[in-house]
Amino acid sequence: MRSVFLKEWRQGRLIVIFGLVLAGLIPALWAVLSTVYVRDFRNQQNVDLFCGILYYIVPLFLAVVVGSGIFAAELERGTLPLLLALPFSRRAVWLGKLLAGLALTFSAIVLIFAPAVIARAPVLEEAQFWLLAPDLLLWTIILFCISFFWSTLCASIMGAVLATIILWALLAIAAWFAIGFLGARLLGTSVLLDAELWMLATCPALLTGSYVGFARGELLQSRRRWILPSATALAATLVICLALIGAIRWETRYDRSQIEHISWHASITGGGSAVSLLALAQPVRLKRDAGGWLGPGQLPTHRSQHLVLLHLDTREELLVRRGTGAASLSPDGTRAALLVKPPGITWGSRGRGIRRLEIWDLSQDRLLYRGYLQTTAPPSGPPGAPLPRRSALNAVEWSPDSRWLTVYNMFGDKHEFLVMDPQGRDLRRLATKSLLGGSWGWSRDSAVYYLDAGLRVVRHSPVQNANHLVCDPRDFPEFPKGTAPEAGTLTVSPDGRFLTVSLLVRESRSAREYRSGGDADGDQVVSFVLRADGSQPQLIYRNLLGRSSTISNPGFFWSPDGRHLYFLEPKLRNSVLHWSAQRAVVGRIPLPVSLTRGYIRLLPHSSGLLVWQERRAWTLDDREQLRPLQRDYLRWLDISSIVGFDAAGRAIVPRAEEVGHSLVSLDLATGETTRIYP
Amino acid sequence: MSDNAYAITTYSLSKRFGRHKALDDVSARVPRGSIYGLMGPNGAGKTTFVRCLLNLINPTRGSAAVLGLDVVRDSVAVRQRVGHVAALQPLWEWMKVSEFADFMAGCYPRWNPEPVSAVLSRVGIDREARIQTLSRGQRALAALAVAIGHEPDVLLLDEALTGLDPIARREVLRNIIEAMHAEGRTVFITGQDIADMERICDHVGFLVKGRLLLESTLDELKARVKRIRVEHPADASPEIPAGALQVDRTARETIFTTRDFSPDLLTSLAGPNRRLEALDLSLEDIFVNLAQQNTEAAT
Amino acid sequence: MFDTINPKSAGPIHRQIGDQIRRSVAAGLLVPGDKLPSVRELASRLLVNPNTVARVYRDLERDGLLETRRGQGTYISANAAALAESERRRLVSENLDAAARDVHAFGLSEKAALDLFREVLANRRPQPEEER
Repeated sequence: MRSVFLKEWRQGRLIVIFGLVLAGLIPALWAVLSTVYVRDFRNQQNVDLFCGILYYIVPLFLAVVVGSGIFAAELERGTLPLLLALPFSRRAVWLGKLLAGLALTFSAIVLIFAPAVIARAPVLEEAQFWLLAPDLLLWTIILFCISFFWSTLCASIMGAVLATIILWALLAIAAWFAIGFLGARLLGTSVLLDAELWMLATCPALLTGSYVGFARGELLQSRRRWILPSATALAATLVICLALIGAIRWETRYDRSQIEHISWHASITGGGSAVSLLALAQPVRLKRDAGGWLGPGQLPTHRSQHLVLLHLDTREELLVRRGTGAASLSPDGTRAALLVKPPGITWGSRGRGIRRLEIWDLSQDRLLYRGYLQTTAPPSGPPGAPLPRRSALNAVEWSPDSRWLTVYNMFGDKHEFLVMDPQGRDLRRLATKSLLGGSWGWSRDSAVYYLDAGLRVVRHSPVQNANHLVCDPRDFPEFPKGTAPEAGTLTVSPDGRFLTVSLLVRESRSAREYRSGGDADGDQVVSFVLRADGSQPQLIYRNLLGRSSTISNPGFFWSPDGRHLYFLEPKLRNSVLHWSAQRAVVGRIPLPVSLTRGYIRLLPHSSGLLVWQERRAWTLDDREQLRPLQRDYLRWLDISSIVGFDAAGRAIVPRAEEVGHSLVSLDLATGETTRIYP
Repeated sequence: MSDNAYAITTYSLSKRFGRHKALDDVSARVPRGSIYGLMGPNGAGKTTFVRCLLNLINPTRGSAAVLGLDVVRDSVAVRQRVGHVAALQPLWEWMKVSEFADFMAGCYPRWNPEPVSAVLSRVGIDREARIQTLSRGQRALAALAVAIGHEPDVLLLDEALTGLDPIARREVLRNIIEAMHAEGRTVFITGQDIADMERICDHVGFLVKGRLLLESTLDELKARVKRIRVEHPADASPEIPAGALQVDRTARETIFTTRDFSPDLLTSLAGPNRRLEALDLSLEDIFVNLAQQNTEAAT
Repeated sequence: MFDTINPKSAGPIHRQIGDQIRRSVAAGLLVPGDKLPSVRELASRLLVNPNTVARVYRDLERDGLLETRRGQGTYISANAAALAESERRRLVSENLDAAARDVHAFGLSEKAALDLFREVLANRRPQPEEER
């Protein structure tokens, strides 16, 4: 084998000499062009680009030429029988040629770059050599292997070169498609895997194919000699890819003890009994930004990302899935609805919002329903809440009796939401018109109140599949004159007795045209509270929109008993507005500080509110008493990061660990913390 | 003779290329120390035969053994003991003759540079010349020189004389004979030039369309295949034995070729007013006679 | 000394070589004690199989014309002179046999044949010295 290697090496001397020539030629060319041709900065860039391309292309070209010539040259010139009549096994001959080819290619490349690298020639910097060098190495190996493979099959050097280029292009396309789409699906991740690394996986397969073709004991002349090597290469590629996928799946397997990073794209679900969160299943080194620790909400998309539905009492996983998404547990705890981002490529901007809805029976671990939706959905949580975590995925709501679901779907330009049973059999599409937030809600008796396309309040009974018009806001006595509603949101009080309806109204042309007497009321946002049967509508908020104002909706917070309603005015944030069912008036509670970057949120098990701004917090009870919250945990807790409250009223918050974050339950009153997850 | 007395033995060796049968059930035996000539027209399968022995191609059926070693299983060992020169085989043009010899020297465990140099100097080939500058005859001689460097026990010369001018041909023949100095070295030569091969071969085999028609020592063949001439009176033509070839009859003369000559044959043909004559045939004549008969029989 | 061998001529090669040696001995071109070329040399010169040459030497040695001296080569044996005469006769009678066959075939009379032979012999007689 050594003799063959040496003979090949000597035969390929020219390549090495060629490399040497280029070593001097390219920098010289760059220097010449720079001085002669360059007149300004832009031209210099062109020269750099050109030389950079040369530096990149030439090694690849050499790899192809050397690889193609290894066997094809012998075939072309008819010296193959001479070589095979030597007292060497075919394996030895093949190996000698392979090693010689690799040696020739890489020594030529080293020679090309060595002088420039040693002299730290500026042309390399401009050509971004150091950035591209690993890529260059990769492509050189890939191209060499491809051309080596074809060299055993093609009878001429030109044929091998041509076949190499064609196969290379095909592989690039296939790898991008197969890896991005298929591979990601098999791995259950939406992360596009590095296509080049997968192409590298085909190299051993190609070498195996070429070995099979050469070692079979023929003179490489029959027309059917293509079949076995190609089949071998394909089979080997498949095996390698499957093995790689298996390895990656194993590497990214869910292992609770290995979790360091969780995201606060999390939500409490199932009436406080469970939390849905995303976690990186394997320890991952994340880049720290300039500010220090990475915020828990900034979990990067990583291939070991898993969606976990965790039961808060038992702290056991109810469900674990690869990928990104959100889970919603039914109130009775038997079923879970998942909205996940499907793995693989999503095409273009239209594909960005595509989600897959899966409904699982947890007790039997059985899939009940699977379908696809387009959700560039309104954010979850209280409508209009400026959550820093825009969880567009969490748009599934279970009915209180756990028999129905609502899901938001964008159908073309139409907004609609679906009411469906867990098996997906009774599916109703209800059109709605929402731009500012959710426009429907479940009542306690498992009926859906929503604003239809005409922005009328409708009650839908899923069991009977019947819609019953409750009322039309235009008929409200306090409805602004001369305006027409354009969009709206709706909430239902927890006991189902009251509704809030917020509408964006615009001055209608007819009003402008037939203005008689009083002026039309102009563009504005108005909010009403009314009884669930549509009676007693009461205007509780109005905001006239000037030319420069942005449309924003007040966020409504119902107390758990349904008697108190709290909201913040979008602009005047130094007081909280309070409506009580008893007194039917809107009161204003002044705040000690203006909440420019703070907010309010409901406290469970009370009719009170939590008000905070940065690290300062207050509780507000239903008697409008504001008390500051002085607790040790405020030092490490960012109140805006509270995920929610569990059934016992404890806050579920992320807490920073040495590396990453964990999820703890915190009693706001006593400050007691218990670690829940991982 | 036991199998070990043979340098090359093939057992029903067959090779197909697609639907074309290049070798069809060839069972040949080449005794050690002989010069064996495999003769046949173009496309008869001679080169395929040699390539099977070197395991450049795999037989479709059957097997072969060289010096007792199976050509497929022990192909590396076979090639270590076998020297090979092929007709018009392209060599590596860029090498010098000395480089070529040195390369070959590195490939074999045993190498004796003396016979190589002896041949090269005898025919006047400059060691420093590049192969591409050599004439066809010089290439053949250079290849032959290098082929004997590793002291092979068997020399396979596939059409080594084809395509050469008469002077080069003689030189090659001479060097082949010189190369026989080693005791027991076997030479296996294929070709179409029957006259030249007749000079040096002591065993012959006829290969036509992939089939081995005949295999024999040259002496025996020449003793058995003769042309018989009978002069007889008109209308008294003799009975020709079965299996006679190339029968020519005129009124008073009958000539035919027999494959099994014996004095008894002459006795059986003898008669009053008859004159008999047994003529020797050249190998070329024998070959043509037999090959033609084979074609006729086939049609 | 040796003519080239004509393989196309019908006789076996070993007989051709053997005959040439016998002729030379018969004609006195080879006398006892003359060294013959080695097997290899002769084979190389004539471009024939060394085995053939070896066989010729063996046959001639068996017939007493040659002798092999260990380590020195093959020589015309001392007996050759004695055998030369019988060789001469044998060779000539072979030729005469061929001529006789033709005589019978062509129906020449014995007398005509003998006259013919005398004529031919006369033509072959070496010329006397005074012709120079």
